[in-house]
Amino acid sequence: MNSDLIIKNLSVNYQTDDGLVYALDQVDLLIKEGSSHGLVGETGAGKTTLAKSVMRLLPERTARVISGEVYYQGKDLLKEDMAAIRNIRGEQIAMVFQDPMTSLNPVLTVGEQIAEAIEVHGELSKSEVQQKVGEILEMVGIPADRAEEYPHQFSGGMKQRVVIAIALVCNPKVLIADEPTTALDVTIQAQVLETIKELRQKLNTSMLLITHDLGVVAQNCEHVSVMYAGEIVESASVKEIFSGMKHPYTKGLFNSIPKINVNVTRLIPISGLMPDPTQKPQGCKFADRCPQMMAICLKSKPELKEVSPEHHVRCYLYDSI
Amino acid sequence: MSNTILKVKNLTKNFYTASGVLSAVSNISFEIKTGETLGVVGESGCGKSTLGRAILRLHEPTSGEIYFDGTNITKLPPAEMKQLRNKMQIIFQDPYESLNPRMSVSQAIAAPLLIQKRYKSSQKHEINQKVLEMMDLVGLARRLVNSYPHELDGGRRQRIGIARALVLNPKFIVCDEPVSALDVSIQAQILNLMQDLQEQFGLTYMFITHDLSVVKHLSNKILVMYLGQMVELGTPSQIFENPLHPYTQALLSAIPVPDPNIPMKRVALTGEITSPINIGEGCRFAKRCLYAKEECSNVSPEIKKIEPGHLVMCHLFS
Repeated sequence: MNSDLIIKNLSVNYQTDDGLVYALDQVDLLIKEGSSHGLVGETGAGKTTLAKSVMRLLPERTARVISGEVYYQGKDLLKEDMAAIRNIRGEQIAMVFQDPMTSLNPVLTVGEQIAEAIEVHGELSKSEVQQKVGEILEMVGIPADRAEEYPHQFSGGMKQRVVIAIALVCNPKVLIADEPTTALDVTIQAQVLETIKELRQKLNTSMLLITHDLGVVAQNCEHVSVMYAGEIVESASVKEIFSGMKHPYTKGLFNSIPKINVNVTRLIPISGLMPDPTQKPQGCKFADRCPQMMAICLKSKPELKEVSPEHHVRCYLYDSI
Repeated sequence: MSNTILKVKNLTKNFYTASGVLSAVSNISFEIKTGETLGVVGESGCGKSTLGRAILRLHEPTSGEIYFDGTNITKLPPAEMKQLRNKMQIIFQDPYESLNPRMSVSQAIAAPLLIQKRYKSSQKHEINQKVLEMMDLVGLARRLVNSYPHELDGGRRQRIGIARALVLNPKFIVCDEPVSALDVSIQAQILNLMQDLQEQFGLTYMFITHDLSVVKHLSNKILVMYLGQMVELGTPSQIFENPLHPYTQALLSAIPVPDPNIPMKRVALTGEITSPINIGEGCRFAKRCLYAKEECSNVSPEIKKIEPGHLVMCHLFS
């Protein structure tokens, strides 16, 4: 069966003391089988909420899915019962969280934590499980005999490799990686991203890579979606977006970063701040920070429109095209 | 002497821990000219923050000398050191943790003025004027004057950190990862602000960061650190176009370039940073180095001048 992950029209709210927080607003996303899709945006854009929605990990008491579907192998994951979801988690769709320091259990050895993931999904004998633990550790570049050690005996980069081993040990079809290298140094980041790339190729796993680093996206993804205040504002192939980015926010983001390969004497920041997530403006959410704002931008919300094949932009500047 | 504001000679800082001597900064020497920016780069744990703090004597150096404006400040008694802090300040990394949650914006910015006795606490009007002046300078809206840190986002908090460092009109500021905790669009606002302030007041920065793109953007000179040692020092063009030390080469090649048409040619660097505790003789990078020879793990390399302003510490060049 085809293992595309299709997110359609997904809206999620959080109920807080300050009122409703609009975290996701009609998000559409397609992650094709075997491909690698980058999701870029700043703090509070809704990237992690999107990942947690797919994995059904949203906090039950505060989060509400207002609309939308998440299709995977013909099923809507948002409608499945928890038993079915537990079967899918890890075996079909796995997740790597941002901070390797806090996503491992400090009182279990790393071998036990990897074994747990195997045992939940399979009927393997003890020795087979042990062998598989050793294999996956070697695959992520950790000597198999370190399975007996505890997380505190590993460095940050090694811990993240363990987390990746747990995520990939059941050969999932989709990997959701939420800022997997943000807490790591650059040389370690490069090693970890390379490990993920090699394993994905071996296992034909597709990936949703959540990051705020445009460099990481350029080097690791085929497609990219840019999120702002809970919405996808631009979506295209990586080649296309870096050669012809359209949305003023994408351009702003790109101009804000000092680039290692180009000399600029002065950065061009995006003025202003992210909008208050408890407010739902009538028009475009980026309007008050946008250097090209027009009258219509304040009145109604632009739709996500195709400007060239597979390149979508949510902006009135490209409405006539 | 006229032009050099800070001169550091053979600076060493050891910490004495239960498991042995931790060599955080080892035998580092450099100079910074007035009005320039020295970028200090390296990975976490390489001692870059300790170096910054040792220069301000927030950590007492184990050995070596620090000259500020021609005066040896290494052994300056506390009272004189306090005077000197009028001229040397620091901006900390994490604007979420470096501000007292119980002090309002105006209290935080005014604190250095009271500590240094620029004003008496009874001179409320004058202090308030100065605070508002600083807020305008760093781009904080005046209406926030009585806000508390928890009401403000990271970018605004870091503006307080900058205002607080600048309020005494210092000449030299150690900036310890001032933008690392901020989102990219906010990071650019703060970097531009810091560049403007440098120009306006002729400030000298020592800019500590792990982000090589930021360092390239801001610095006149770049110092690359590995496990407490200075492995390379040069101008941005020397470091980026002609990196000599194998570690600098590996570090540069690990940065993901924001352009899919420039594929990364990564210098494979295996392993991770080793422990700085009870470190022996020899090059500290030898265990991870592609070109390591036998002498590398036995004999410490000397610092060599390759061309004017470009120093490297590696046996390949001795």
